[in-house]
Amino acid sequence: MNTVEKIKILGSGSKFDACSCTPAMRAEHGTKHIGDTLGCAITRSATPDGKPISLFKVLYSNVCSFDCTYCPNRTGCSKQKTTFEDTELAAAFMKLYIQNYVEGLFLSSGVMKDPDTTMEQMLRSVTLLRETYQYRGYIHLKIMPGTNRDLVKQAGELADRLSINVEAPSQDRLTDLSTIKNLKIDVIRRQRWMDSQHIRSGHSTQFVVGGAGESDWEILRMAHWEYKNVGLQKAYYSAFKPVESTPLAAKKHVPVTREVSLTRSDFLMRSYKYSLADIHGILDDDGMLPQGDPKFHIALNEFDRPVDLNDLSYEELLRIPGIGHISAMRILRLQKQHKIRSAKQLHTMGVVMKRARPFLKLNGHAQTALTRFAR
Amino acid sequence: MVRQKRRFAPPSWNQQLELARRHSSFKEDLLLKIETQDKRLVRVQATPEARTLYNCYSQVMTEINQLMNYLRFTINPHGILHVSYTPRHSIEDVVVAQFHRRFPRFAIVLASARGTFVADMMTVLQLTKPLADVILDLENQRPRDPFLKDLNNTDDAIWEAFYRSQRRTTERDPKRVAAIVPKRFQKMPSFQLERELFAGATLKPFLPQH
Ligand code: SF4
Repeated sequence: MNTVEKIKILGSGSKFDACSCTPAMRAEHGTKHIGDTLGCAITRSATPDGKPISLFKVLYSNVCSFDCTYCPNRTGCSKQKTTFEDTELAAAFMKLYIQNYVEGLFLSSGVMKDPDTTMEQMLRSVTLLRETYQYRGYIHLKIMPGTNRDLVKQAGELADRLSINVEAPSQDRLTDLSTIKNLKIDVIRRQRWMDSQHIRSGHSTQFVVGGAGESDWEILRMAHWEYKNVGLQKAYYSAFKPVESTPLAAKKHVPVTREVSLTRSDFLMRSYKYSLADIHGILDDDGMLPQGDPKFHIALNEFDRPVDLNDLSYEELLRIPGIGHISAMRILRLQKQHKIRSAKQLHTMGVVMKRARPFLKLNGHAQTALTRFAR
Repeated sequence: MVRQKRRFAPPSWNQQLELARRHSSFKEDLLLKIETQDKRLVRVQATPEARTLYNCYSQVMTEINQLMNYLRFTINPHGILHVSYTPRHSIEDVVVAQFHRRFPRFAIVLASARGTFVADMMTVLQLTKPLADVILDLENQRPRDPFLKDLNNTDDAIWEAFYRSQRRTTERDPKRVAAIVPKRFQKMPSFQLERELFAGATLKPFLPQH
């Protein structure tokens, strides 16, 4: 099978893996290296349905001895199987990188013979890129569940980001998806090793949303635990989609809106320091997030009347919809000198007034019906 | 464990000004007005003129970022990466310099209506010669790069295979696509494959807005 054929199969095998390129500081001096990780670039292209493409996202191999029920690469699946040669993967990637089609490499794989053998082969490919091709750009490497500690360490030295997929929020839920993976030993222990290493862009994970019938609350609680206890940098959420010839082929797909709500709530926890209790306050009886922007729903719970932003601290400003880190900083700097009185002034400082206005009292005036406004 | 800091220093006032001046509709009068205004208000863009200046700067920055994202090079075996495109603002020298920092072993050439911009050996030049002549000159100066020997230039089959493999559905969502790749970049010759697939897919049925 030629390289192009392999890319078709192994690219398609990784399309449900979520990732993004996270710039990492790495000083490079000299004239022979290729690439950097400082680029402001985030995306290079998009699929017709609006998914950004930034990385050359492929599997090293789609041969897998594991049995995840949602996965088309699982053992016994009749799909065509193939594996890259190190040099063909490196040459194909370098061509796309130099032409500026992609911003970096995302390399995952099926677990071929066992996790260590697979990881060793992936590391050989990455070493070739770093040493022979002098490639200094972004690499995101997937760690196979159950990989030994030395290989995790080597991966951390070669890659900018590592990840290992949690897939489900508890062992019980994970057992519904895979009879082989052990959450605590195969996944969380590896995350602790990654946390103890110096990985430039940290490590991330991914949940299959709705694959095992779990609620949003279970997923967010687990993500929160991971942020606090294993130094997770980012969790990705991928709505379950049934794939032909897998045991879950007949299961209904999970709407992508659920993936979006989880991503937004996760962002509030990570970047705006919202607590789990804040998120819990907007869940329904089944532990599911409401439709729409979670920040808006939390603000509805929190502000029983409009507030004067001249009296608010940085943290309080951040809790108003339409105000982000930059606009909060600008408001704070101006607060010290002037009273903010007009919506126009706020708009010029970057506040999204359509979202913020219902929560604000400006010059003693407030709009009355909060719920009339767009979420 | 101490994780490396990933914050980039925000540009200084002078850097912002230098970039804002590259905007196609920047006028020096704006600066005269801003000089008479309260510095505290100017600092947080709370006057219309300060906001306009900031917008000029941020639009120039946006276009630099867009070019860094969407320019796609042709590889010349002598280690020259070249492309033709005319940006809205006068930023060609900044863009070739940034690409050259990323690929210091290659010469970067960007041909636009304002001239042919070359970044090579850590120097940026603006030339009046057409792209073909500039490439010829560079070929004479630079030997063939053995590194590029295996990277077949004329064949876009690798990108096509990869791009097609990433499609999740055959539906299209032109609004989201345009938010990622602005329409004027979609028109570039190097986006031909994407254009064909964007057009060929069916329009997404209405989904509840989130
Ligand atoms: S480990 Fe599970 S999810 Fe990963 S490739 Fe194998 S079967 Fe698929």
